[in-house]
Amino acid sequence: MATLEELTAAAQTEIDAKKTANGGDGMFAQVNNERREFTEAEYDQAVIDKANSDFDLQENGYKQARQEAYLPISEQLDMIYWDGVNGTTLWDDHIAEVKANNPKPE
Amino acid sequence: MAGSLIKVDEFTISSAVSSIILGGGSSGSSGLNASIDSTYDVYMVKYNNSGTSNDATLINSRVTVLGTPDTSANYDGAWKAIRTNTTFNNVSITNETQWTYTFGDSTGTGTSEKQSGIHYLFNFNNASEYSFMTVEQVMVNANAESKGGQGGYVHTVAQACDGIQLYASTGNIASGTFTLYGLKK
Repeated sequence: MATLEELTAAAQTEIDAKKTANGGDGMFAQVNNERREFTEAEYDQAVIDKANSDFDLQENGYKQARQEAYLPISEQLDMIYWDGVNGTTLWDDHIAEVKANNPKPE
Repeated sequence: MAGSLIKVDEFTISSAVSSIILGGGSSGSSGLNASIDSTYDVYMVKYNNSGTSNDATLINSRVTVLGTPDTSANYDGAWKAIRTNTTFNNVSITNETQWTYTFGDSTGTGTSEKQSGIHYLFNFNNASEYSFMTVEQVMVNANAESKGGQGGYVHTVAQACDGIQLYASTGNIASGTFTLYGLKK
C-alpha cells in the first residue's frame, strides 16, 4: 500500500515526463481559442490531482470492482432459492469469490 | 417556449487538451469571452461524444472564479449509476477538490467509448448561495459497458462562479463538443 506521499512522488515523476521540455507530449489547456501547454502551476495541480485520484482508486477501487463483479440481484435471489432447495452454497460461494478476487486493502 | 435556450459558449475539441473551460471570460476555451453571470438564472452544459486519449480516464470538473478553477476541498456530490451489465450502484463524494466522476465513469479509447450528457447549473452567479449542478448522462465506459447516470453536485462555498472547468484525470480529452446555454428568464 502506497502512501499519498509516495503516490504524489510517482505522479510528479509521471507528470514531469509529460512536459515537452522533458521530451514528453505535453499536457495542454485550451484558453481563449488558443491551445497552450500547461503552466507550471497547472502541472503542479495535475500532480496533486493525479496523486489524489490514484490514492482514492487504491483505497476505494475494490468497492467499484465488487459492484461490477456481483451478479444481478435477480440471479442472486435465484441462487439463494436453489441453495435452500438443494442444500448447496451457490450464493455464499459467489459472494466469497467476488470478495476474494477484489480484496479490501489492508 | 421557442427561443428559451440561448447558446452562450461552445468549444469543439480539434486537438486533444487536458483542460477546457466553458464560460470563465477570457480564460474560457472558445475565445468567445463568455461568462456565467446574472443574464440567466439557470445555465445548462451539454457535452456530446466526449472521449479521452488514455484508457480508463475520468473527466472531473471545477467551478471557476474569475476564470480560475477553485481547487479548495468543497466539492460534494451523489449519484446513481444505472448499469446494463449488473445492478445499479450509488456513488458519493464529500469535500473533494473537484467534482470527481463528472461524466459518470471512466471512458477508454475503444470504438464508441464516449460520454454525452446534460448538467443544469444553479446559483453559479449568486455570491450568497452554494453552486448546484445536476447530472444526467449516458455513456459507454472503458469496459465497453453501456451506462446511465443521474444525480447532483454541490460546491459548498457561497461565492459567484463564472464558469466550469472540465479536465481529464490523466492524459487528454481527445474529442467532444461542449456547449453552455442560458435558460431565458
